[in-house]
Amino acid sequence: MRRPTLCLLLLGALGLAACGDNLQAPETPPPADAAVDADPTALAPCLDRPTELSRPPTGSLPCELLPPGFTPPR
Amino acid sequence: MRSSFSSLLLAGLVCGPALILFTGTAEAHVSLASGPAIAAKSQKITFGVGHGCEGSDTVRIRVDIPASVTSVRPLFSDFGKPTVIKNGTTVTAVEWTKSDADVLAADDAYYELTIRARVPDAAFTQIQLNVTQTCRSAAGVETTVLWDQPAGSTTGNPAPVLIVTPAHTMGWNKVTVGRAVAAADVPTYLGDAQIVWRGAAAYSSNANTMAQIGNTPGVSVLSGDLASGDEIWIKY
Repeated sequence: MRRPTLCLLLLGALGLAACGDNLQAPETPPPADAAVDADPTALAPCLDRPTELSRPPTGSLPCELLPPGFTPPR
Repeated sequence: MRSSFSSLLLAGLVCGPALILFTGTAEAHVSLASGPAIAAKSQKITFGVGHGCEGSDTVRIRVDIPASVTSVRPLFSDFGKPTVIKNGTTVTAVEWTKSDADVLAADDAYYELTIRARVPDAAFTQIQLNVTQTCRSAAGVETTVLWDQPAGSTTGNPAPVLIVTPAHTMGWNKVTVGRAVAAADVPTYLGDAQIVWRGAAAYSSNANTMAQIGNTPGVSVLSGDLASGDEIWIKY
């Protein structure tokens, strides 16, 4: 009677230890998963204002040298 | 690369002496160091005296004031004390005289003399300002040079000419041209602007901006005379 009782107690302790590991796992996700789970539509701050980005020179007049209300005829 | 450098070097060797010659000629004149004036505005007008007379120092400068230039007040100068010459209440001339103690033994100095005056509401015109320069040699001999000839004259000495630009402020200005301006005179009156537009045609004294004008679809280089009544946009 004493031996089976001891075995049951050991098995119970092992089961509790195993359950404890499983509960802690979600709190520290592996770093490799972060990139996969990131929102694909997230933008860097400067890309949120694309019109403010400097543009490569085209050789034509910049907007600030076009008179008010002027639209170049095409 | 070596070829480009050689070309630049050659251009420098050819153009350098010409540039020095041009600068020397320009400095010989009594000039307007303050540049173009703005129509219908009181402003400082500065005369630059680049040289004396035949090696002698300048001891007196007289500027005749045309009737169209009003509210004239001279500034004191380290050259000498100014005197205002009037006909009634109208200032007809301003004269600066150097004290005897300050006269230099040789023609070594550059002088600037300034008046504050109101320029008439006459954009796209030029005002001739006759100047009389008096010099004194180390031996005490005085000589007088008149700068009173119109631009392009083949005799005498050219008078300083005040260019009158349209009334304007920094930024965009919409201007109705009050009198015809020949195409050749557009740089004279509007050369200090960033860009000038008439319709879809533009002009700038800056060579890079002119290249951009030529590269902009639908935009042409401003050419031909400006007619009285033309509406133009000018950015300063």
